[in-house]
Amino acid sequence: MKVIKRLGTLTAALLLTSMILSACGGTTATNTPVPAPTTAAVASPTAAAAPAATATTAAMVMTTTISTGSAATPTAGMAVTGTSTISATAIPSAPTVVVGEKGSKGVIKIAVDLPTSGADASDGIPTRNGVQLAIEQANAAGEVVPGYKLEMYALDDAVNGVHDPQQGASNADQFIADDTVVGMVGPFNSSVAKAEMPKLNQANLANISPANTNETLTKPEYGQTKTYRPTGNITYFRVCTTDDIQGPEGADYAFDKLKFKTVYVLDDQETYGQGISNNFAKEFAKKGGTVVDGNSHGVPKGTTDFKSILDTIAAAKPDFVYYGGTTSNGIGLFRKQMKDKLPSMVLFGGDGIVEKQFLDDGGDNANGAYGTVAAVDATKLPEAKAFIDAYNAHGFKEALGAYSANSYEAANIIIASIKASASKWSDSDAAANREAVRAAIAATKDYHGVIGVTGFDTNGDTTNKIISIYEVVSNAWTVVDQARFGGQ
Amino acid sequence: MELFVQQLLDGIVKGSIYALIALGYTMVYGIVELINFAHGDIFMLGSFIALAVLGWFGVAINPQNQAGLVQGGFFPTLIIIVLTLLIAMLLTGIIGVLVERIAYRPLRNAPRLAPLISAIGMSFILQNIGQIWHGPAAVSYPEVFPTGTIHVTSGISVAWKDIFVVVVCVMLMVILQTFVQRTKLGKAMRATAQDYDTSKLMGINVNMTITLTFFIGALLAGAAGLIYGLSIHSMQFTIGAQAGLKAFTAAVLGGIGNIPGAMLGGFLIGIVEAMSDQYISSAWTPVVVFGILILILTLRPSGLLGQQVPERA
Repeated sequence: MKVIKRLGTLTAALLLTSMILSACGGTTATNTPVPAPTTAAVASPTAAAAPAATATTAAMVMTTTISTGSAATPTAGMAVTGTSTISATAIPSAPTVVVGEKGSKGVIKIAVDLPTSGADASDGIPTRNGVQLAIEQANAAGEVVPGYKLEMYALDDAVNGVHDPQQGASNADQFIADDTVVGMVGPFNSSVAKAEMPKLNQANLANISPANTNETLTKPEYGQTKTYRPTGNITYFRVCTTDDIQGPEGADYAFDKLKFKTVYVLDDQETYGQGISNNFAKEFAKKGGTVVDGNSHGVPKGTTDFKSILDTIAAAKPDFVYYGGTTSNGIGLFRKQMKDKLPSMVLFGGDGIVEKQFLDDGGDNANGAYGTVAAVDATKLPEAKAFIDAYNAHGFKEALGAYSANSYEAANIIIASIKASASKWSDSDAAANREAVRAAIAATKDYHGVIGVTGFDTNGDTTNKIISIYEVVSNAWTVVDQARFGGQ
Repeated sequence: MELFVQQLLDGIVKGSIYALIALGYTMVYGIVELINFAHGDIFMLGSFIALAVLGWFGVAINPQNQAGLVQGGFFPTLIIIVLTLLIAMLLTGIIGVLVERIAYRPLRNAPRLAPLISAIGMSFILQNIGQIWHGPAAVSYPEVFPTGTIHVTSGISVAWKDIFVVVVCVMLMVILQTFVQRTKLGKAMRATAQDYDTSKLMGINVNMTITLTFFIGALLAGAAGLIYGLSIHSMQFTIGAQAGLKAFTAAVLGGIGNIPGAMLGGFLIGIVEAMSDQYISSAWTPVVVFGILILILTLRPSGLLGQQVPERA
């Protein structure tokens, strides 16, 4: 009995400490970028056509290995090896997906780390499909380096259906340990990036993220770059722009176009969520709007009953609610429960909510929500037409996502960098190959691709800065506006 | 003031679900002095079972099509809900009995730590069953009740489903209390809780009584599962553990082993959560709730109403 009481007290004390820590993160993050668990993200089913299920590349060698199991819920492990199509993902498991061909000397692998199961799968899988398409097209065009063909080596960083930084870090270790991996596309979430960046940097393995938007990852003025790039080399690149642009652009749109004056700001207490909420709130106040209580209100992860939070919001009588965070932390449910207490209020969010799970969770009430995405809407770009056609013709089960074009672009930049390093390719020196690819990516200045002209600045950030704004109309995310910042 | 009353009402609604789950913890603790960590996951499975039963009755559970689910008006809806409640409770109760048979009965005379560990193992197993069944993402629950709220005053409103939640929870609690206090089986339960060996000598079928306790605890968890789904509109395989932890706090707050204590504790935790969301900050709500758990465990381990069971030395 005594033992049980002590055990109970100990457990409760641990729980309390962890919660105080996360709550503190929530209150102090108002002005300064704070290191805390995070996230960034998104993908949206745009008004894309349903995949015309036709050509599945027959000549491809595909192996699907499915391994179940995670730190939190140990499951019986099972491994299935065989020929299958990549789009057939087993939902309850963390799939390792390998797609590619062998050259006469062997393969060069491009790693992919995205959340591809659970609530985050509607973000992750359409994004992974972009990489797969790029690799298949490159292989169809011949060997990238004489004797070598490309292979996609994809791991899932979701645990229990939600992106997990620890899982991401362990995936990064697996990629680093494989000498044939020369570059990585991913991750999707800024919190995962924080865990992976120091590892990848020390291994000098370049990665291009299609979707990380947290600004503290790359910009030295936030004082965290020493942690994320200990060697000082730039190994982390991204093809989407950052939350110090995305958050304020959302605020401008709400204030100028939607004519809202008062906002109640919520966040999911993760790096991405807090970051974008604070950026949004600052800009909204600067424009002359009112932010209720002057700061963002943290909503603990795993909250499912929003009644009392909604009461508090209703009493504050704002014009609309802004939420910084990802759907997998509960905002779809929040939107659904808004029906009872605030039937006509608008919900505005960042790229973390612009995806299919939000529509599923929100049901009919998802309509009328707005969201920003730090990427161009490919359906609006003439350059992207060939890509979209190829995507639809491939027969992927998942429709094009908001970040599919970004991941296609990221993979193509890595492939171009591999080609550029072909003359000095080594059969045995993995470190030299990785450095050659990294240097070629860093030197990218005006890559003409499907999302415009991409180059990387000295921090590894893209010079192609675009924010798209979406609204839910008839239960589908529909692009309503697009803004371009600086660069090309 | 209106806001306070509104939060109080919402707290009571939240709390009644915690109270139902807390009863399962407290009854099992009262009788075998075991903290059944798998109980939260039994609640989660109960919710999935109820969802399946709703499906059998033809209620559309497609997330994209949630409005106007039951055709035919008020009474058919009510009948379907009541039948679903009963069937889901029964099936969940059977899961509770199985858990006891598999994980606890073989360890009845083992050291105290052994069943505690098998409880944690059972909790993982049930979570994984939930994950394999419905996948790792949250599953949408149909909307069966008329949407919208009844305005008591301009600032105070109550939703139809909230009334349903509180009415069903209170009814179940009254039935349980009557059963335990007024029936022969209830008397056997109380006797077993007081003294296992003496009850055996008095001719009480102790094993059967313990099984019955698990069955009733799981029945209530199954009911809580359906009620939770209909009021929150979502269920995920990880929710069981989270809700279970809060319900456990409620049971400890009221005095673990004490049935009216668990009900009181549940309502109090719900109200504290609502008040903390309003007057402190939603970011601090879990801190407040689990802070209470620590305070109670250190300052008044027997809980607000005290334990009914004398400690077995």
